[in-house]
Amino acid sequence: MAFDIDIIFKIAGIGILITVLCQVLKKSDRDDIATLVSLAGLIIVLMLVISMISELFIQIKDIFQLY
Amino acid sequence: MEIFKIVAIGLVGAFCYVFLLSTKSEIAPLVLLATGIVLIIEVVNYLFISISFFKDLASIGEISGSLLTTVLKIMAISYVLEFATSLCTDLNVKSIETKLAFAGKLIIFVISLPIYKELFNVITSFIS
Repeated sequence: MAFDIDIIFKIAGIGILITVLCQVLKKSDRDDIATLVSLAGLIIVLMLVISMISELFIQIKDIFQLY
Repeated sequence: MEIFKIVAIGLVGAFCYVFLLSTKSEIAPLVLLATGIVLIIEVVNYLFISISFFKDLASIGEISGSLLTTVLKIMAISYVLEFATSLCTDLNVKSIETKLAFAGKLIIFVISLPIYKELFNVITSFIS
């Protein structure tokens, strides 16, 4: 799938959303939920980035005719 | 021209990284990784043309196919390694970067052994 600049905006958006949510949760002194929210955000972004990495490696394999 | 799009993607990624750094979120380095991947995927298709060019050259110069595949394999390994090590320098994780570089050099050396054998055969054929 052709990556474009919207992937970067999506990740940045998730980052901003997570920080805002964490701030709100911290202010209403629910720190445990804040850490869980930031953890969830990190996992979502990691899944996205890992799928991009696998896409990159598949393309490199095709181009260099490895294996 | 293609280059403007690539530069735009790189700059936008860099600014997103700086912005996320300011909000001290741990997703900032992931934005770096994402922009790196997008940039490389944009450009990696051009490599295909050069590789088919090398294949034509090899067929003309009757270089054995196995040599060319090892050279291509070494190129692929070095690209992937350079991608990983440059990312590690961004995260200033020096130890992993040196280990990655060392592992890559080792693998490239092991893969290039048959080339030495081939070279040796050619030299001995000249001498004898």
